[in-house]
Amino acid sequence: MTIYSKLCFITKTYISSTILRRQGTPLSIPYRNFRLKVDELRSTFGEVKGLDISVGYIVEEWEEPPGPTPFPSIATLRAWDHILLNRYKPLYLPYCDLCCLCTYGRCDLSRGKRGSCGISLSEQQSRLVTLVCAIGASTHAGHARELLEKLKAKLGEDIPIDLGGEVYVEMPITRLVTGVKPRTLRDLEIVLDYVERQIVQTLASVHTGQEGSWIDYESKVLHLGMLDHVAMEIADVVQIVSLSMPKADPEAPLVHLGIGAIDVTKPVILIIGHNVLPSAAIVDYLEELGIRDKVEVCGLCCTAHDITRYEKKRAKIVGPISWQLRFIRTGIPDVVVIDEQCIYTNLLEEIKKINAILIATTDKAMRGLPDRTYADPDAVVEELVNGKIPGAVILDEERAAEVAVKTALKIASTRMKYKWSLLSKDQIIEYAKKCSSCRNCERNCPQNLPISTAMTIAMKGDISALAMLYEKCFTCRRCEYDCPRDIPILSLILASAKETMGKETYKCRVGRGAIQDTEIRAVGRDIVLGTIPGVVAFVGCANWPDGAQDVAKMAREFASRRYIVVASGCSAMAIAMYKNEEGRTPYEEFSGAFEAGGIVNVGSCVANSHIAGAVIKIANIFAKLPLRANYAEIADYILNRVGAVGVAWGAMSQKAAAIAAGFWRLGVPVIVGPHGLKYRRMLLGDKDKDENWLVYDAMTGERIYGGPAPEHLFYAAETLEEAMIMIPKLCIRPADTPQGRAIKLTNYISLYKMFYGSDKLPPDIHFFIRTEADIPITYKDEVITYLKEVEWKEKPVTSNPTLLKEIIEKYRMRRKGIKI
Amino acid sequence: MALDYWLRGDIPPGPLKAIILTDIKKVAEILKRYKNSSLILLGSQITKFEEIIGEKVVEKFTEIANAINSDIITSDSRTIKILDSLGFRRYKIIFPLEMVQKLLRNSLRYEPLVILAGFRYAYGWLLLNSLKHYRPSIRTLSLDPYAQPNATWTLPSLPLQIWIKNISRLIEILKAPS
Repeated sequence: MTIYSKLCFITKTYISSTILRRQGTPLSIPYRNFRLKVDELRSTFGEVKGLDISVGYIVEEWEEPPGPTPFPSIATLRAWDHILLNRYKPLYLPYCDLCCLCTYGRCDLSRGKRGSCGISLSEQQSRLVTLVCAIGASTHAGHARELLEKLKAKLGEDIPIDLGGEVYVEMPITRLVTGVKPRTLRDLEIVLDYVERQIVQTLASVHTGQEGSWIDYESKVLHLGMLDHVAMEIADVVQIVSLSMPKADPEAPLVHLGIGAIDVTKPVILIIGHNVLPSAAIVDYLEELGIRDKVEVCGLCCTAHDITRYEKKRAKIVGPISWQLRFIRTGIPDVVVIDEQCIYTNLLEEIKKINAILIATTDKAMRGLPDRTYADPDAVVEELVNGKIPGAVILDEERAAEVAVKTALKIASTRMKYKWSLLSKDQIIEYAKKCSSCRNCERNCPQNLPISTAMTIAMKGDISALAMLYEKCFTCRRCEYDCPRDIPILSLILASAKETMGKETYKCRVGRGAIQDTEIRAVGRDIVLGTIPGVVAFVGCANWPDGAQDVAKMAREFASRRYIVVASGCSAMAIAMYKNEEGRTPYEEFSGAFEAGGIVNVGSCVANSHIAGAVIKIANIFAKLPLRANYAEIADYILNRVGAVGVAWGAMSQKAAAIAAGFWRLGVPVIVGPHGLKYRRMLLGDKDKDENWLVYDAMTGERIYGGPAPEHLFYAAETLEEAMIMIPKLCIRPADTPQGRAIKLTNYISLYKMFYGSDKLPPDIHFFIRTEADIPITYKDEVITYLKEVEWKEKPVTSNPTLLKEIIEKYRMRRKGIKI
Repeated sequence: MALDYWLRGDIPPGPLKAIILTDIKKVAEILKRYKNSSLILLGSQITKFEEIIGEKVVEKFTEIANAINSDIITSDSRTIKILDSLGFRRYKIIFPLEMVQKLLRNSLRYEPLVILAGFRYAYGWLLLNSLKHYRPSIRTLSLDPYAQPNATWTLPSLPLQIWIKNISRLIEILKAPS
């Protein structure tokens, strides 16, 4: 053995054995990286001077003592998962009754049958959710990896992790999960390595003949969700610190949003996706040429958020993911640049119809286009302009930007005839006359829109009913694919709503990134006591059942009720698509600070990590709980004390599923819209079973009834009103003070009455009233009468509820000042 | 390959599919068989059908409920306002997912015929599939204008105007002296 290998062996053994002993289960800490510097060493095997060996690196130590679960593997947090899942059991809603994943099958899993491999329908649903979350987590991890590698290569790996002057706990998820306090981009390498390895390990469980228990599949779902949150945090932090995006700024600027906001007199470059690097390169190139004001740069989906976070002034947001075909069929974009995720897969066909150009910039979505990464940019521009190729793959952002800009400048003037080239009213009516009212379009429409009825009205000359479909249609084109008369139904809907589209001009606040530690300090106490009734996060995609405005309605309602409203991704855009009587959007109407009555846009999908981060920071900064690798204790605290709920009203993607799963493991319930039921299972509590709601009083160790709070962990509401009633209910926590509980119940009751009538009370109100002090003053007489009817009895109150028995001992030791 | 008309645009769920009831008399027979032991779950789309076809759809369902002594379960505010205005008292406000949870956990302690109408198509499809697999002893009947393949019995997919005529005819049969 050489000196070098002996030293490596010693170091590896020390690090790994120390950590393995602490946890008792195999961990995946990446121990391979280290540096050893020896000025002089004398030993039996030789004499060494000036030795300096670097094999990777070691992340610097920091002041907080290591917690119990650094770099957790699949099994590390299993006990916590099982506690959650035994309370919030899956209610399965199978989307398919068969399994067709291997050649044993297809297997019929109906009504208690098992497949050839032995799997049941319930296990198969949980297995598929695991798969879905693995897709989501790997997508965010892939995104993070690309940002990290490219920005390290461009700017160096010593860029400090600086998220703003008031952000001292800079990456709370990373600290909580891995125990690493990253100081530079370099430190994120070890964290992302861990995430990638764990995703592979967990995905392997989906293979035939691996996991065979619903609860352990669901535990893996939660594990993937947690990994997804780490990946998102890395992705967003890397882009914030490297690209000078807003740093926890409550007054981040307002930017234009909407199809009507796009200036069609200029060449228009549209970027679709989630990875900001190509968009940033386009803006930089235009600035370099000094013609930034001559070209319109706009984005769709999360790239739009991030380009405005990058540029903060001229770039515009067209809209959420489902605006893709809406905007492209207007003919406005000259060049469409795609990066990654959630891009319409048949985009090339749509772009060819309007004679525009497609440029693909990542290897994840190359769309069959020829690779021109290493070709001379001017030669590629010629190929594109002359129509030799409909588009190109260019995997280098700077080159892609050059080609996109030069092409847009060349073709814009020749494309003016395509802009706003929607069908005329006469053409709409002629097409409508071809409709045979077979209703195949309606049956194939995910929204069940009354297309047939609208067609019948349109064939008589009135296109208003078709125009009304515009708000609810998310332009999937399934109606067109199923029409036996080849009527371009989507084009008819869009053309009918041309006037509405042209007027779509709103103001959206630029995503601010993290929440300041000082903001957390200011509100933490009120959130935990319940006197701020909750934190409501509107997140996720654009699969809204009744259009974008519902998200804005909810956000305004809860901000007006002094909840803290946060938003991200397509939902943050939806909030902008509303104007009050004074013509102001919610971002102009409400503050952008993390405070009661604020509406905070954190940014794109990956900025969801700041929402989870804020919830974690409440436990860490306000309650002073140790953060470092202390997952279960922090999650238990959040579940029992932090009234936060996520609302993914239009959740559609696998990424959304993984994001939700990360929140569940942290103890934050999530409500989805009716389409969310397609995620195959809900996680519901059963308030009728008292034994499910027992908690420990951490001070006395006594096991007491804590009430159904929060009642569910994952819930799909059928209607907006159902969601709005469920939100305040899921903000209730066992640790609420009587004053806080009364405030939360006031909101629950008043929303119930608002929708169902002033003479009605929620029939489950007695579950949430522990003593008379919890009863809202406004409804006191009515509630007391009802409590008598249902023979209500007082319930115990504790300000220190926990589901973890070991917390009792921790509390005892902390009280006595014993170091844990 | 020809598709049955009620499956157009639908994705077949698996081997167990609903019996399509094309004769409204058969529907009436089933409802009469479950008189006093059925529940009608009305979704949020029921009032949208009213808007589209200009008929009092909710009122028709109260007539069905009265004819078979059934409670109506709903959480749609507009439906509730109509039920209140009609003076119909036999309704409960329960969210559909929580209702299915109660049915699956046998909280009712009996096995009713569960009649669904007015749900968003996919939402109803999934609720019914849960009941189909996890409480097969509960029979389900979809009275929606779209065929629901995961119910025990379902009406075929029909234009709303024809559907409402069938519902009216059903009420006549139920009210007729036997």
